Amino acid sequence: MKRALALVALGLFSPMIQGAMVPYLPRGACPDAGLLLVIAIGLSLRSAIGGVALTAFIGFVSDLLSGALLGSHAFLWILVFAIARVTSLHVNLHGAFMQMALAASLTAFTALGLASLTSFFGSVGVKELVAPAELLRQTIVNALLAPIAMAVVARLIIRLGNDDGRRVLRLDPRGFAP
Amino acid sequence: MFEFRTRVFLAFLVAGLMGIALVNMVVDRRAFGSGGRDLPWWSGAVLDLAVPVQKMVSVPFDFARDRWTGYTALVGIREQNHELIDRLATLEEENLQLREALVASGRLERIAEMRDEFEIPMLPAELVGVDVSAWFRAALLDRGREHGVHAGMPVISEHGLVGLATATSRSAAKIMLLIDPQSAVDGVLQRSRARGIVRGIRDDALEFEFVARQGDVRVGDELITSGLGGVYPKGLRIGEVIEVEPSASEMLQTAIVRPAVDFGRLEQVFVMLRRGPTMELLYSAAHGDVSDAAERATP
Repeated sequence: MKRALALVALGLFSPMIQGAMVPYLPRGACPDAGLLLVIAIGLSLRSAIGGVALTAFIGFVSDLLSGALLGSHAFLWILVFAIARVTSLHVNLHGAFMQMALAASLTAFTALGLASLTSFFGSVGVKELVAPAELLRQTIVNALLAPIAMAVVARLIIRLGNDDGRRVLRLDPRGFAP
Repeated sequence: MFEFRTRVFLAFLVAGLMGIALVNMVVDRRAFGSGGRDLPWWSGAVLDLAVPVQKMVSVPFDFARDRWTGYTALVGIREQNHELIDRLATLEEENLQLREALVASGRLERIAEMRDEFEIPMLPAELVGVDVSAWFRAALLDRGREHGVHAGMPVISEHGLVGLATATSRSAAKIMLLIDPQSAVDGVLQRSRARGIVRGIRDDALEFEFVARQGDVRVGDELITSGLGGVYPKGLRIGEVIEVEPSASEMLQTAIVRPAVDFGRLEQVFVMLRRGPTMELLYSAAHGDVSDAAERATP
């Protein structure tokens, strides 16, 4: 229960804090807190059902705090959660480099997915929404911070839970262990 | 057996949540087309909660920035003061001459009457947070329905047009900024009266698309809202033309416009507490009181 509450609070407040920080940082220098959280939950949380529900909630909060169509973040991040989870079963994601690569590819997937959904439902083209330079910047920032975000979430889950030690591929709390 | 049931439940949960998300996207797009929407309490609560949280996070950053800008602003303030005094004198002189000309033509009284007739009430609001997604340009204001702010109301600053309220909760409002790629505003050039559509392309640039044959567009031209489309009132400053792109087609040509508002430093804005006639009609149609709206929209 404590763990669930902590993750819900993290999912609720991290996009809000991110929204307040963006004006003070150069454009693209702010990581996508919601996305990193979803990837970390996908890799660390034992319960897939809880993970999916939590992911949908984080996506919904991000939808409300962004100009995207309501539901688009939730829709894509459920897919991100699934991809992260399936990848963790087949690829060794213990190293920081692999975590960075996963975060980078899922950032690009989310950006293109959001642009495609907005383009499908609206009148804006994918190219107008996602500029390559901005996508590159966002991908790099998310990739650099991914190991830290994953280590923090994994540590939180282990500290507040009692069963996640049995997760098939659990992240080391320190995050950078081979 | 237990694992099989869990897997089936998981599959249904994923499909259900993704289905709800898809339906939400369709509903949201339709609401966007009819002037935005006032959010229900359960989703509005997130926006209401975001306002104090984002204000609290901003406090130390604002403090540091205010100290720094306060210090740097002192540098060269004497020189700037002299320049402003000179400029004020010139403008006062110009104003006097224009007034005289209006009085002479007998139109001043009529203009004063019109201003009273069309004056739109304004509500000052603070911008507390910006878009969490790097691909869109929305912002959160600390004023909502309880202050009279509703979806479809234009938002301006002292420099010009800022955007449009797209969703509101009890004490917060989400606005789509002019620089958002989804934003489209009907604009007109002050000098040549060439009309076109203004779209957001970057943080510091807009795209003005106009009919090539009619367009007399030059670098330095001021762009204002045309009032057509019925979303924004006429005459709000949009920006200045900084580049005219060579025509790719015989029909349409584009120019790059620098927004009048510096969106990177935007803090205080004003919400115009009256929707444009088209927005009023669309919004009321979506909420079921069309006859009232048609009456209000008729000049």
